[in-house]
Amino acid sequence: MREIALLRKELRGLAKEKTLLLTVVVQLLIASFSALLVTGIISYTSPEALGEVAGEKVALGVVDADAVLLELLKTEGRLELSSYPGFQEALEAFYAGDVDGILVVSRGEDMVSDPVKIDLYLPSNDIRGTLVAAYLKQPLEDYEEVLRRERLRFLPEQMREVLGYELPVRESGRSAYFEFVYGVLIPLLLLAPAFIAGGLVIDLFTEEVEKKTLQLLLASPAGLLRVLRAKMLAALAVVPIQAVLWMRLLEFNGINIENELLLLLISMSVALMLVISAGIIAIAARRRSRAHLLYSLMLINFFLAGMQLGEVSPLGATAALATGRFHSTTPLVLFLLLSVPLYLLLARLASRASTGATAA
Amino acid sequence: MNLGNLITVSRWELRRSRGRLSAGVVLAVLLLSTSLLLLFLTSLNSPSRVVFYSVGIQGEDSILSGALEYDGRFRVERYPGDAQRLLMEGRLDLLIRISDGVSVLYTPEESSLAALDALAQAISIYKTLTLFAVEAEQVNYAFPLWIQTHYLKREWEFQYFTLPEGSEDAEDTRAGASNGESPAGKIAGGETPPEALPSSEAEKLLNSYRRSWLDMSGITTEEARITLPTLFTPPLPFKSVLLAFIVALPIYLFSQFYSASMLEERNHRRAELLLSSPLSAGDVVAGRMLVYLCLSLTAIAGTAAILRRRLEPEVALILLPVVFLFLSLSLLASVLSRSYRENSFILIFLSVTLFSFLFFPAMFVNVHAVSTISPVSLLVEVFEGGELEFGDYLLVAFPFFAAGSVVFLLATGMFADSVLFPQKPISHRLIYGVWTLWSRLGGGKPALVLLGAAAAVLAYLLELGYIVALFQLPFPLSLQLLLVLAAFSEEALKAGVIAGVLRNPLNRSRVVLIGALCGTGFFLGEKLIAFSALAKLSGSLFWSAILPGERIFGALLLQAALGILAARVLVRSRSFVLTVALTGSLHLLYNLIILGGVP
Repeated sequence: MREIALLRKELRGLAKEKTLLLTVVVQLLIASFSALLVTGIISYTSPEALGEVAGEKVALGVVDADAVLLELLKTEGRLELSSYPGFQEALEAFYAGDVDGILVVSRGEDMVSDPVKIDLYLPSNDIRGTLVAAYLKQPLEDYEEVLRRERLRFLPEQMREVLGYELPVRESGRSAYFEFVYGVLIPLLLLAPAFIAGGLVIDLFTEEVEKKTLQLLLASPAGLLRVLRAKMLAALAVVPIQAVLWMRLLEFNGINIENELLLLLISMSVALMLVISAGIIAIAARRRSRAHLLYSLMLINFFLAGMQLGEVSPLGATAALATGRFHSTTPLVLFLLLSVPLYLLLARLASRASTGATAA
Repeated sequence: MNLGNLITVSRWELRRSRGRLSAGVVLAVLLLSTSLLLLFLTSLNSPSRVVFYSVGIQGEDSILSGALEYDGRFRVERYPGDAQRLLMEGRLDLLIRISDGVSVLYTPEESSLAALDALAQAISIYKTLTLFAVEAEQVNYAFPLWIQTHYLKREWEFQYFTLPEGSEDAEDTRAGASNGESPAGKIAGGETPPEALPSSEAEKLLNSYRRSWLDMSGITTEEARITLPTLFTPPLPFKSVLLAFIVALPIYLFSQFYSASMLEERNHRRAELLLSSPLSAGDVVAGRMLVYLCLSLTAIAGTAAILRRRLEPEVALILLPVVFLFLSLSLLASVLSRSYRENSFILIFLSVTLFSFLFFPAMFVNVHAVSTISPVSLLVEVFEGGELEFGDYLLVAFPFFAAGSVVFLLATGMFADSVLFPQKPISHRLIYGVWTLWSRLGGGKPALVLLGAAAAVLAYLLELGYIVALFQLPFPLSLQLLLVLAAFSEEALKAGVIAGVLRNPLNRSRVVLIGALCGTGFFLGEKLIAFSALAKLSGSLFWSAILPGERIFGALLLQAALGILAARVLVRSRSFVLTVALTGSLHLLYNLIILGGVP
């Protein structure tokens, strides 16, 4: 009963806090900026997306290109080519706005043993520069292939075998978008509520410390661990609501999410780990600024480490589960198991802290 | 404010924060920061470990297996039973059959098409990786082609939103541009023609690529200017933006400290004592800020030096206006909030907004004019091997310094009030802050004009933020939204100033004068910003949506008239929302007429 009374107190406090709305706005902001980032990434790999706004074709001035390169450039239909006798002439055309980029080929003395260099002149701060570069990528890779084939006989046998390997597939740039949505956007949105929950516990606890109300609570029959537990539960209660909201929103935007129930449980189990860790940090650091510093550093570490650990990390698990390529409760069980020693540590710290406080 | 007092307060704060950091905390912070740097370096250079695609393979193929294994994004199932059904059900993304030739089966699902692209990438990466093992004397046979990219500044054009032909502003920009550097002059001054790449040079380049690809050492981005066709990408500086982000992180940490320190002062009831001492509120607030300003800049320069392996003081210089604005905003957060929770929420909100505002435009360095809005773009350019031009720096830094100062002065004005009446609502505190600021400035007519101009500076920064958020939306919609947001934000800020001045009931009989002066001040502020030659975005429709064009008299009249109206409605109705709704709508209407209707 005491537990429930404490929990009700914390929840009531949270409900009154209008600023909680701000965090929802923050998450919305993250989402909308991520959406913009997606657009940026698409333009990075498949410039068609930009082509729509910037006009389909771009003009490229070419100096000293051989017939093979010209032929390869022509296969890219979105480049309008014009050849110039020298660099100066091409530069004049560039500044006059006749061409949006210049490609100059220079060769060494020896056709076979010296490298070929292509100098690409692009307008800075102009979307057409990006388009030129994007359209050029495939022809230039093909040109490298041609040049390499001429020199292939000088390379060792085993390398020649790998180089000659062909699959009937072409790069399209579609994977970048797919991997961004599932690898970054979804994990970020589903785990952000957990990150915030940890921060909330720190605030709730250090506020009692600094306003000196903690002593009163400790003097009551509640005990430090009980008080902390109520705060942690209150912070946890906000997590699933946000996570479900995000999943619905993503689906509304046409992004398909698999394993929804498991994902919800994962985000709650991660929140559990973080909330307990935040409790430990809060008891150990006492002061809010110190606790927040440690907590933020821990979070960034947690994030970066997650990138290395694959599916057993919260980020990796969320990504893999959301694509549906992976169905396993291992990460969930792992996170829940990890919470146990963390909780025991917290309980120990709490009992030590409260006996210390009563003795003082 | 007094320099001696300032230094005294700074020294206190330093001593206090040293006492606050016990050995354990320092150790924990150091450990966590080190592991953070290490993890960051590793993650930059290692392939993905998240499985996105599942691939079924029927047959044996050592090269394919090698490529898929290295890539790590694939889960491979060998000889799956009833493979075609698995593919149709979406449990496999690709099915690869190896008998006489290789055939790849896929479905029109998004995940299958993405897997197809990833497969092509995996093969191409594997080929490059195999070639990296080449002997020194064979480098030029394995890598016969190198690409070097150069960027040339051409006459400014704002890509999406150039004004329609024949419009007044568009002609102005063109005339202005041709008066400046002539195209002929550029060529004469110009670029040296490109030269061939010596064989030895190619070998050196390849070695640096081998290093940065295979090991985790060295994040230098300049060398990417000469690159291989496989590594050649359109000029979006992802790596440098990421680097800039890590370098800028201390700003967030130290602003949190600053805000907490100010809040603690209040909660521990020490601030009252300080205020009754000969120190002014300005001394107390600025002395503290000085400490965190210096600490942030040192941390920024230090992080950059570690990551880039060289000392670049210009990094700290570029971020100085950002640090200042951020600290001023966290000061505002600490005087506005009544509890720690509130303070955390406000700070998170501020930092996410400001960080998006700073970093999102930087993604578009070399691509889009919007990048010139953010100081981080300059940082990215420096990381990409460019030079910092002082003129550019001033143009980008000015709005940050100006807005930072306004926020700082406003928050300082509220400090005493927040100490004495910590539970008053936020609206009350804001009005009080404006009022204090006005009285500090002398409480007269010039002070009011100055406040109006300050409101214009804040409005300008807000509107830059709107442009960042909106510029990728489809064209007429983005402009329409910007027009609406700009009109209402400007009116809200102006009404805020007027409400602050009207706090004194005696002023309520002089609404016409107060409204007109504030409006004039706002107009002057806008002109000042326009003259500060932030002309890079000029000539775009966005620009004319946030700043008045050539119709100087009309704009002045509008600002004054709306100011008077706002003052009158505020006195009559006492409703801020109603006031802004009314004046904002009228402002919007005027802008629409001036722009000749929305396309």
